[in-house]
Amino acid sequence: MCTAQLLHTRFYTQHPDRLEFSKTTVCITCMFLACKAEETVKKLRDIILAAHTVIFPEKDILSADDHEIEVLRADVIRCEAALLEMLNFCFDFPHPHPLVVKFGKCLKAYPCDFRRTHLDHALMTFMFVMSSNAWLLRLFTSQFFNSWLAVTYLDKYLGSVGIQHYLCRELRRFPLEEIEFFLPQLCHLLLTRPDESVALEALLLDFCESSTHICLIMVWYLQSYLSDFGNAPHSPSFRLCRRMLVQCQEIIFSDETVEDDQDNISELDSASSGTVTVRGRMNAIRRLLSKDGPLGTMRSRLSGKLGSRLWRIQVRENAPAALVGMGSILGAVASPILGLNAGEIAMIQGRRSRLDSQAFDTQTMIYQERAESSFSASDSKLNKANGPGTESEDIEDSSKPAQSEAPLLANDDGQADQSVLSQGNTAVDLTQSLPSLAISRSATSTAIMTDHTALTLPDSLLHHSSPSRPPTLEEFYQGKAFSVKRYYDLEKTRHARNESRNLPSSATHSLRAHRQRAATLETHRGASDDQGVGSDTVGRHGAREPSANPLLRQSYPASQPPLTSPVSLSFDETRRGSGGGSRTNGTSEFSHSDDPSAETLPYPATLHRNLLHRHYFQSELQFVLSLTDISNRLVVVSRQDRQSSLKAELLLLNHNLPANVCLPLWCSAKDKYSPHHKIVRIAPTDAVVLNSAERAPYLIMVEVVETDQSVEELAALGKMQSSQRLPVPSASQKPVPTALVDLTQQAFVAAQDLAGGSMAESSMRLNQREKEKETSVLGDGPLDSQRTPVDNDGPIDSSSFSPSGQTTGTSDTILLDLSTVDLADQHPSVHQDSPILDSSTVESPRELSNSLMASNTHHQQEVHMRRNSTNTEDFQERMRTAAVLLAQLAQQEERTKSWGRWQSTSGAGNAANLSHHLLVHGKGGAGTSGDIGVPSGTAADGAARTYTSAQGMEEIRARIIQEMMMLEEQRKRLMDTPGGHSRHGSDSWSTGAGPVESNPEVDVSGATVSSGALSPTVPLEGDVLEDQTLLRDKVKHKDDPSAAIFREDWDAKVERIRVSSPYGHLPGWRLFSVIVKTGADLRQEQFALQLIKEMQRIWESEGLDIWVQYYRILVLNDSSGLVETIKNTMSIHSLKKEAYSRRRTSLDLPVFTLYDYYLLQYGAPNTDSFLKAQDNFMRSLVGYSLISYILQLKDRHNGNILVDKEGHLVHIDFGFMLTNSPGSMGFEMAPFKLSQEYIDVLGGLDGVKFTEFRDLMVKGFLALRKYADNIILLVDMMQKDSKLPCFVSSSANASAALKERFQINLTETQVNDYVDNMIVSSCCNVFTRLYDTFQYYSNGIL
Amino acid sequence: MGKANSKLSREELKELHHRTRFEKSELQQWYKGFIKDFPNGTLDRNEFRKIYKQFFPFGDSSEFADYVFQVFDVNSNGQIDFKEFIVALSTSCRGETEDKLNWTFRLYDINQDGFITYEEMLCIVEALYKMVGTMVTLPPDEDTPEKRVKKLFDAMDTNRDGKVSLEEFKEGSRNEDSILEALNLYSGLV
Repeated sequence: MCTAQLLHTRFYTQHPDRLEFSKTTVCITCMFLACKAEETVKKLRDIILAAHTVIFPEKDILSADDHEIEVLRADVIRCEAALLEMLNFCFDFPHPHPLVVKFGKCLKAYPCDFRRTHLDHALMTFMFVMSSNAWLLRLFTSQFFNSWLAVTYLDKYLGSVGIQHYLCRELRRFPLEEIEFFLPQLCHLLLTRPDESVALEALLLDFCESSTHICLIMVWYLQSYLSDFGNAPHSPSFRLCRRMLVQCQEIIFSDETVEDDQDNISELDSASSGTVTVRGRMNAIRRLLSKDGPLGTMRSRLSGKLGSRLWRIQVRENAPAALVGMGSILGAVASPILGLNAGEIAMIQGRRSRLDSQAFDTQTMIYQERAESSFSASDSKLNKANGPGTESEDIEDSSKPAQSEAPLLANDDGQADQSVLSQGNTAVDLTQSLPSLAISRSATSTAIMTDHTALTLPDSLLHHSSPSRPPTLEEFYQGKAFSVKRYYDLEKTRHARNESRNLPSSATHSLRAHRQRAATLETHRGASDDQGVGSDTVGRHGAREPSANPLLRQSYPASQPPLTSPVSLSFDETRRGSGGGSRTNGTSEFSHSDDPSAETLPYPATLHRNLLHRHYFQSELQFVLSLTDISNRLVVVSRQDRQSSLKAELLLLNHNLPANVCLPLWCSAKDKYSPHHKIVRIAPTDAVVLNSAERAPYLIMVEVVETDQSVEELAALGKMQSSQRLPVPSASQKPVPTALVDLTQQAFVAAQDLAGGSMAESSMRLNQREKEKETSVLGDGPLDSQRTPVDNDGPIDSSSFSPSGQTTGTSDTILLDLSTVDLADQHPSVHQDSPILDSSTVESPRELSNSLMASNTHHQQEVHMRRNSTNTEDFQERMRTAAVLLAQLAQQEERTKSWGRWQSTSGAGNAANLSHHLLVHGKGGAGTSGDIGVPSGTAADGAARTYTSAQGMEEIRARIIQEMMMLEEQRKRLMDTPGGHSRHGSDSWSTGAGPVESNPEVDVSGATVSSGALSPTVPLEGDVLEDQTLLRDKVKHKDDPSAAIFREDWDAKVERIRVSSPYGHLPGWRLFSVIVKTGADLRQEQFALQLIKEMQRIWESEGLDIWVQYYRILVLNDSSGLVETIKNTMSIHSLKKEAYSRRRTSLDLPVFTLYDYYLLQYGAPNTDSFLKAQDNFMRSLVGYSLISYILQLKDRHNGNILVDKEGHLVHIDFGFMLTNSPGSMGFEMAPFKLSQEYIDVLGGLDGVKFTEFRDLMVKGFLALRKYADNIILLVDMMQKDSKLPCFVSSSANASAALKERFQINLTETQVNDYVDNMIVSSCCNVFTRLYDTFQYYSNGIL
Repeated sequence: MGKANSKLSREELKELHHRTRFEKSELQQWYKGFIKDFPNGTLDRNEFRKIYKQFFPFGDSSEFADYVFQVFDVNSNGQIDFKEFIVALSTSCRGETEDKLNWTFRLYDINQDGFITYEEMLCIVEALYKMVGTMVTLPPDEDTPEKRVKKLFDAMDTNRDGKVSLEEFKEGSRNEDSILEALNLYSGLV
């Protein structure tokens, strides 16, 4: 049909004068020829007949031998010849116009429907005859225009600047949610095929501005793309991606304000210093503008909506755009409306410099410049902070519009400076100009390299870098914040707030840079006077400590996630911060929360709001980062330990909640300033590490509160609530488990009160961090460079330790531990107790070994004492209240765990023993004092092994403790098994104690010990399991700890958690269940779900009751993301497994099918509940069968198919679809999975339900066909240059194959048959069975 | 692209710096951008049309492009060179309203006799409408070129002699906020 229309159009456009043929004839001829061309040959007579009935519907159908036909036929044949001649016998029709089809559909005309198409045809002809793109415009302005069409043509007319701009402008009119749906496609389009037009870029940035969520999602997308393009840093895609990311970050971190507050803000700006000049200038410009003329609509839209960042809307060196822009200015007088309209395009277009390709060098240069300027600016800020200097203003002015960006970049460029200095390496320069890399943890290898070089720089540079380099300057602020807290207790609330604001931002350069800004704002106004020289120096020292961290992080992003990851760092800071505050004021832990409005009184509401807004971004980024970090750290933990590690991690994380963070996909907040929901807590006991071989995904229950209340209020509320419960456990000796959960939570809150304790701990961490840094230097750099850092560390350590230097004898600790054990023993049977118990049990062996080691080196003791000092501090606190004791325990457990984790991490991550030893040694060195530089120097030699082994003891012991602790936990979980408990308890003791005792004598490397510690674990585990009399437990426990979690009814779980949560009573309380995944690219999953969502929408709009489950996926970067869990579901695999394990005990029939499950679950086949479940099953089966067919979902084993409470099937895991299949085996040949057990559930092939199933299949398929274009579009747009495995794996054209599957050319009756065929071929398909069998044998999936 | 081509000479730079409101570094940047798109340093009428065609695909932009080209091509040699370009840019983005209006007047005064006749104005407005008129819904009182021109003349031709002088043009434009706004499109942004 399209071909016919094309022919027709061509004929008349090329030969408008050929009137010898009647229009009818030409039409028919075109049709005829098109049929031939498309190889769907129809008889000419049929066509003529059909045409005749269309043209003269009132007449009778012509008889076959009518004369008229003969005449027509002759005409047509003559005409055909003419046509062919015109075409030069070339039948290569590019079909640029599926629009025709689309348009036809809009008119409810099916392609096969001749009668309708006549009208369509006429219309189309008319449109085609019109010149240029006018017809396109007509389409765009027609009522049929929707976001789908817009996106389609955006894709189609990629090269055309004008059309792009027009469409983007149109897209802005659609509701944001509609566009959000296309976000993956739009991003992909933008990034994979960069072109002349800036429209899309501008559009997306606009969206980012208007929606925080979109912005965040964009940032995450961009990060993942950035790492995709990382190997081609010169490609336009990469540059574009980078630019986008920078701009998104701009939006995120900008001090942006809405224009109605201009004056307010600019005043503030001048008052507060820093990055503000940009805005000042912007405002000046705006004012200038408004002086010249009132802000018109267009104008204000540009400057308001797009605006805010001068350098972003600034017109660059783009001559064509400028020419057009000037043209439109010229035309302004003639018609201002049109002029502006045209000018807008030119402006947006002009935003991208034509020099882009060259811009690379210049950009770098500019960045450097900016870094310099920011450096000086921050220098002046520094001055201002320390004294009432005002010279910063001047420097700000010099730092030009892009200055706001400078702090973002400063860090990177600072490093770049260093590296350039040392190497003159342009590659380094290159990567360092990517500010994004600082944020994206997926730093490219070059970046890593750079960091290495930065680390391995000669000591002079390291020295050099301390006070004068931007990074350090930024650290200075951190350091100052700390030191202020340590030494000055003035302005506590302000700083507490400062701190809380700063809390999550320490991970990355840019974040930190930003924090600095925030800090500046705060400190300038209030606390600047309070900072004396003392804080200065200490700050300087302290500054070094975090600076090591990011470097480290980047240098070991993959192999060794260090303990000193940003999470713990930031936590330390919080603790330290609040701890510092509470030293003088016992109640000050929440003092910063008492009245946020009071704190912010000096600031107008808008600024406050902006601060909050920015804070939200930081927190959000940091929050998800910490989530993925947890997962990354879990990977290196052995499988048995993961669960408890996770618990510990989450406790730590909880500690920092509630915070200004939300789950973007779940959050209902729409516009920029509307309140997001706030995550108040992650229920630690309900988190579970999921079953996975090489990754460690885990499931968390996120509690959020939808409220306008501030975080501080929430925290206070939560505290109140938990303190109300506090007396319960301490009074009664048998607390309810839920209350205990609470207690641990509360404990953490209380832990903040322990100033000294946290101080000591944080200083310990600091210590570790130093070591880490050292190690990296030692490991990577030339050996002779070691001494310097060590030397540096000495004073730092001592300075940071001195405040917490209360060292007490070990006896105190033992005392403490004993009482700890006592208390914990009072409720040993409670399940949730286990962490506490663990930590108590941990204490004893530690003390045991402590005494063993009493003869050991001085370093060790010192470390120990430091550790114990925590205990002492805590001990006193504990005397006061039982809750504090629990806090202590949890904290201790926490710390021990993180210790252990750190050690095991280092052990596992560092293949080389050398670095492990160095690490160990570095620790010892830091433990003592500055003079350790000498031994550490020797340690660098390979021969230093023996020397370090003694110190390594400490590490090793801690690791063993950890192992034991984990074991203990493991055992606790199995405690309901009688008999095995005590024996294995002692077992674990002895095995655990064994290595401890043997250690002092043996000179072992870290690796050996770790294996030694692990080896008893494995058989032990086996033992325990063998002892189990209930196989069910074994099954559940060994393979699928998650099964238990999934088993629990969602509502019940919600209620349980609600009761246990201190925030459960709040009105907006809600619970989300989310899986954090790392190590997997979730983009394909997300893409699959997007398609499923669209199909779901199609069926819904067609009124078909087909059930599919959409679940949200949040892509964080190319290897991690958040996945929504589906409530009340279990995989068929696990429900079968469970059934089997149950049966084996009762010696039932061996085979358990899905049908049996339905019988078991819903009752006899004729009961209402069964029928309902059956119906649900059928409807979901239809949905997923069609999806399986259309998307060619593969890997459909029972582990990937879930059944929910109502009996719906839910498919998950879309790693294989469209073109790829697991192992490219092509096992799953059936169109979809329709196994015998499914048919059984449906009541057999002859059942009523099966017929219903069949019918619904046909209807569903027809519906999909009707909207096939939508789905094809989505796939098509994603396909080009995609890195998704579903496109990469095969050279085949995925979208063409997809199109094929829709069988567009079939009539409805044919579709009927086709679907029948599919069902028959799927039915008990041998391949399906084969695949299940294969999965059973290879992976044990039932 | 030779080295000589990619940078402005010192003399040129000096001259342009004098004649425009651009910094020297800005001039260099713009020159780079200009050369990138037009490697031989000039662009002719056809290239100019092409640009417009690209930006305004929905209408017929060639007529308007021609008129605009004439404004740019100060020396009427059929080419726009960088000097002409940058001077115009300077006027349009950093010039005073007075400068802008003087400059704009040249578009409408097609035969350059110092007056805009009804016909001249109609030509321009028609061309503009052809180019972008379809993309925007215009208010009913100016939805055709004739209506718009009539409106303009009602406002500008204060002495009712059927043609608009430069003074009348400036005065009329100043009184119209929307015109000023459109004139200031680039203000502060380049």
